[in-house]
Amino acid sequence: MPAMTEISDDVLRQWLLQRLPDAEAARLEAQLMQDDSLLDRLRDAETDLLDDAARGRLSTAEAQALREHRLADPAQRERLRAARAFARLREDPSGAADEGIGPERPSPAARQASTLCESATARRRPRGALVLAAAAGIIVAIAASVLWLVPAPVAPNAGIATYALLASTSRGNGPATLRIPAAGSAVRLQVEVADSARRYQLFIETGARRQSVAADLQPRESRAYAYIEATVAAGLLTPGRHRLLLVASNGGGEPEQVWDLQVGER
Amino acid sequence: MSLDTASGTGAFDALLQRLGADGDPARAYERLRERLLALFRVYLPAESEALADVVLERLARRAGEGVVIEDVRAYALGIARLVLQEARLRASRRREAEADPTLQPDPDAGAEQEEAERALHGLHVCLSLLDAASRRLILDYYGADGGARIRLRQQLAQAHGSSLNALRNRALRLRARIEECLRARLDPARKP
Repeated sequence: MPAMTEISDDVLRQWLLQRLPDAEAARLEAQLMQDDSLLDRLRDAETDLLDDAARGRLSTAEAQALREHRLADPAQRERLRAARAFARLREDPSGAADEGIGPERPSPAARQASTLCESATARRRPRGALVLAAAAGIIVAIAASVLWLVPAPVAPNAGIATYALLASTSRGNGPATLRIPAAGSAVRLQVEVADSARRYQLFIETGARRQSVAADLQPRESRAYAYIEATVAAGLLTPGRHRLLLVASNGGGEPEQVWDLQVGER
Repeated sequence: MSLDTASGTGAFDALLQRLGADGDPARAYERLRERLLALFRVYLPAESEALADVVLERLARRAGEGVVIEDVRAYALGIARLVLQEARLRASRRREAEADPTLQPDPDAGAEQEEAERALHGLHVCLSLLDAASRRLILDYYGADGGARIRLRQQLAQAHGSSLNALRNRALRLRARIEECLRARLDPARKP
């Protein structure tokens, strides 16, 4: 029997997300077969993981791993749905607060950080990113199961639809598609970037023609996320199919991220 | 228990006999199955039940064949690793064959919002079915984030005069009850 070793909650989380080196995972497998308490701790770690996902507290990499490795399971998605309800209850003054619940209620800053995106025209927002986006009248049109796991950085400014684009989780599967329902209006983009120390440029590519949206964009940081923000002029959003490219200014012109962009009906 | 009949009653009996060497064979069998389920829930949660059963079938077959198994759990882990390898290979082939998931139709934001509202309402109802102390416990236990989470749970355990393990077990049971209640309210047609 292998020696029982103390295992931290974070190690269990990384195991659940399949982010541990093989040797360490093998050690945990062996310990799981012998150690009764590890069964319960693992279940607890899974619940905490889902709670943190529902509260928007996972890093981009963790959110991606959760989606890839765990949310294919309908039971996990059901558990996440419950976790999201718990997260809303925790922040809902008509629920948890009335019962004196929650020893560490999130600060206003933490609540702001947990939002995905919203416009200044949004009324008091319900919790949960997709819900929030819908309430704000914003259409967010890339892979939703990624979006609502990862907080967008800040609340954008008034009067303009804002789209949060997260670092792609699908390099092997081709770009995700951002759909903008109608041409003729400018939109604001908040785009997660890998390196807050670099400058970035955004392009729209239509066929072989590449047009600059904005250049020399300096990333801002919010908690674990770095992002750039740019407004896409209405004139660039002509109906039809385009590509949106994120390029690091000193990256040799190679796009760091690419999204398909559909303006208007397909 | 869900051993395939093809593995035979004799094989199953042989496994139980081997498991019972140190006590109650039925309990040892269930515990072994729990461990296998937990293992597969880490790697392929959607298939955990089926894969655990495959391991138990193969294990029983070996026991029925008279294979000398000194440490049943370690032997089961060896089989489980092979079964996991096979399942991952199948999953990888499936993924290659599937369409790009990022290009699936957009979610219906209105429906998402409606479901979130229903889930919150359902959670209120399910919590109201608990006694006040249990309701308070589950909301406190799962109330904190990050590093505060561990500290809070230790404080809660002290306040309840119990160990952290005992408190965890109680919270896990309550959470499972609430999630089952919520599932029943949101998907009434689905059996647990």
